[in-house]
Amino acid sequence: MEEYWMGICSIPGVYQAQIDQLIRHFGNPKAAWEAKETEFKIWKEKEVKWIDDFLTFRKHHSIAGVCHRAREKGINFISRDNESFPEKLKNLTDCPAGLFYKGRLPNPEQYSVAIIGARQCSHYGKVMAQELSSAMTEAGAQVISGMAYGIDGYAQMASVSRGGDSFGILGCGVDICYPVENYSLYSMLQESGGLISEFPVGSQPQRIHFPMRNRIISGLSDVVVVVEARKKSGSLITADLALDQGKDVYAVPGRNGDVLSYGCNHLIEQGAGLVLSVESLLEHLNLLKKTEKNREETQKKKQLALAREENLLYSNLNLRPKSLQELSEKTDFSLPVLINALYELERKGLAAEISKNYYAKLK
Amino acid sequence: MFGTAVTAAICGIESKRITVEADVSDGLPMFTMVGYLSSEVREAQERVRTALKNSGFRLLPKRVTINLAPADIRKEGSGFDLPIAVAVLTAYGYLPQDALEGVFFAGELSLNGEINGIHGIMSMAAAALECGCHTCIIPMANRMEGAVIQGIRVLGASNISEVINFFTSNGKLTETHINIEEILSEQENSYSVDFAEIQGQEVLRRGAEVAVSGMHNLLIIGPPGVGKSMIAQRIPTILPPLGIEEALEISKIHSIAGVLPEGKGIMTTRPFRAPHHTITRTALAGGGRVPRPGEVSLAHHALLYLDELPEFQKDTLEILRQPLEDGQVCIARNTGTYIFPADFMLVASMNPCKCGYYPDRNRCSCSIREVKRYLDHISQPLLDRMDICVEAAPVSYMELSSGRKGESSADIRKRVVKAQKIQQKRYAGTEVKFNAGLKTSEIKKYCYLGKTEESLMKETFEKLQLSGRAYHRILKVARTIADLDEKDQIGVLHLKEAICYRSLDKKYWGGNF
Repeated sequence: MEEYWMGICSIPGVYQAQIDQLIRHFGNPKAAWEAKETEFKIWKEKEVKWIDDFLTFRKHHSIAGVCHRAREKGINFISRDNESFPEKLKNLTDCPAGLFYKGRLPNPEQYSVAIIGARQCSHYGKVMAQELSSAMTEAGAQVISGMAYGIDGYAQMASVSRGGDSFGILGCGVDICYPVENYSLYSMLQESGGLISEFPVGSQPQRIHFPMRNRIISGLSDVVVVVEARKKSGSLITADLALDQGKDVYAVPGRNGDVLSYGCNHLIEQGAGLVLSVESLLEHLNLLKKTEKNREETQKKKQLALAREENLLYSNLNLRPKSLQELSEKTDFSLPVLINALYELERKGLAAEISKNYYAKLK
Repeated sequence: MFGTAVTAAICGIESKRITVEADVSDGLPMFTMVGYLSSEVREAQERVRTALKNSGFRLLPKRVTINLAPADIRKEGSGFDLPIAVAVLTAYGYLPQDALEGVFFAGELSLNGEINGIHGIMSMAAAALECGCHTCIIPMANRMEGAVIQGIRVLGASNISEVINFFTSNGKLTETHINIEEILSEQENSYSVDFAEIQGQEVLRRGAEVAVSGMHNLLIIGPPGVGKSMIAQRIPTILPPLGIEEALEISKIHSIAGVLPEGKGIMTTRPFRAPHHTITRTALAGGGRVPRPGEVSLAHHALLYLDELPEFQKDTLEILRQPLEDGQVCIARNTGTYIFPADFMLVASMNPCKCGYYPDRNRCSCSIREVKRYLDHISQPLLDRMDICVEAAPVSYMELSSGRKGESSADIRKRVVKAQKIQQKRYAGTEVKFNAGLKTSEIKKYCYLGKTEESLMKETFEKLQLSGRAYHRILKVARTIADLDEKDQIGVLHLKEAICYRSLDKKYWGGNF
């Protein structure tokens, strides 16, 4: 039966809603696959397009062929009838019919956190995503996200590079790396974690796929953390879905007027949890271990090692990138002194050049 | 009857001597011109005939033949009218041939006999001097230009009758003399802009100062409206004052292009060339069927400013690579190869992304791909030639309203001149003029690093994953900063500052993991 599930899930243009209709009518995928053409009359009368897609695909492909091709690419499949299918998804009203995946599926025993946010994120968002993700990973959680540009990618990269498990839920077939710029992440996720998609192998990333895959992101996780989101952002859809599914939603606040934090601040206004600091979030989630103490100690050490100019400069830096010009106005240092101090801070890993001559605090 | 007159044709920025020969003989009345002529030269016969008629000369209907020798040089331009007219008058016997000995003619005729100004008089006068002429008769409008060439008598004429009277009845022509040194020293500080007008922008100021001191090319990146162009316009004011030779060279090019300032014979300030980004390749590098100097040559010994660099056509920018490397443009035509000097300092400015506000994410919503694509308009080889790259950030209101005056151009220039003198002393007897011109092999010799500096560079090299080229550029810029500091040895601070000015790296542009 698993093969027939896979066959029925491999048809481009036939999504979970349509599969549900077929299953309701025929009882199981095997019956649907082998039914005579006349039995599809009710859909034919309505002239829906997808039923033609289904029939044509059925005509040209064999179940064995579909399975073989996926296996050749190292892609696994699991249907919702399978007992290893993630329990958390089974409860959804719009539970995907099956999941294609590379690597593994999330460990149901382990705590799962979704860290999501804007593609075009700021340095602040980047650092917050990385910090949250690293802390979560160290606390033993697995990070789930969408492997997109920006927040998603930074969070997952931080998790994987700390030796954690991370799962990328894709809006295309699992054999396609989108965006291609994240290829290194794509290949790392296959090793430590997994790539998961409900869309057929070879599907291109389409606009309509992304809101659909968001329900899987929220569904697979125990809590959703939104790092940066604009007024109209896909991350807000995920947050809404998470609320519908009864999950907790946290948001990283931004300043009033920060375009990129509007969505997050709005979530907080509506009652989402506020991420005051990484530690406070861990505490809320009961994930707090020894990590907190270590952090404080290292921070103390850093402050001790700084020279006077460096200290003054460091206190002028924050997560919003500031230009060399702005820093020179703020500190009143001569240019060579300023550059020297910046260089030393960069060397100590406390500051970074974000863009040409724009500097920001790293931690 | 036979008559000749001496003139010159422009080839590149040099001029070559041309002899106009005229013969008047019996036969069917006609006017024939030979000698590899372009159509504007061929049209000269109508202008000459009519101008002479209107000046009161009756030309009997005879067979007139004109030859412009040597016949293998293509003759272009309207400057041949006057010598043709003189040669014809000589052949008809109105002028004595021996009076024309050693006299050079150039000028365009109007139908009423007036003489109009032409391009390239300076180069022609120089050619006249070279081929042994003692007198130049040129249009009144160009007499200042001609007078720049010392050692030859320059006479300005406003119509053809004056010229004839000069030879036949001791008429007077306006003799012009100018003292170049005096003009140059008088006008030394005659720029209409000054660095003092810029408030704040310490980083950009310093970047410009370092760039000028070592003649490094400068790339300014910043959002719209922060004063990128303002700074660029003021860079010529901190370049060292023009020397006589430089002024002559610049003036010669401008004379050929016909863009010398009205009523002046010589360029007294360094030009600031800022072509619009719609400029074509030919207009930038020079060219045309008969090559004319382009913007790069007009910016010789001065500044070429390209605003909105990524908006330029990609292939137009690629043209810059040769002049940036060799300091000249070489244009090959079937009539010969023309060389135009183009030893300029390139200053370019650009926005960090399409909308102009990256990395301020509150205002910029460009995707990382778009940011990268914007930079892709500029090729890596061109980016490699930009030694210094600085950011121009918005100036705060406090700084603007403080009324604090910036340092004046004259003060900055003093430091620049000092730093350039140090370089000239160091590179005496070599081909190198400024630090920017150091070749890789020479960098080792002149940019020696101590132990601490060496380890700093090693660390940076690894951390930033620099290319070999980027590494050398940092050393060159550090050398200039040390020169500004009047230190023989490059120090740690010099290196750090140079690292800060390093050119942007496409790899890291737009952020990555």
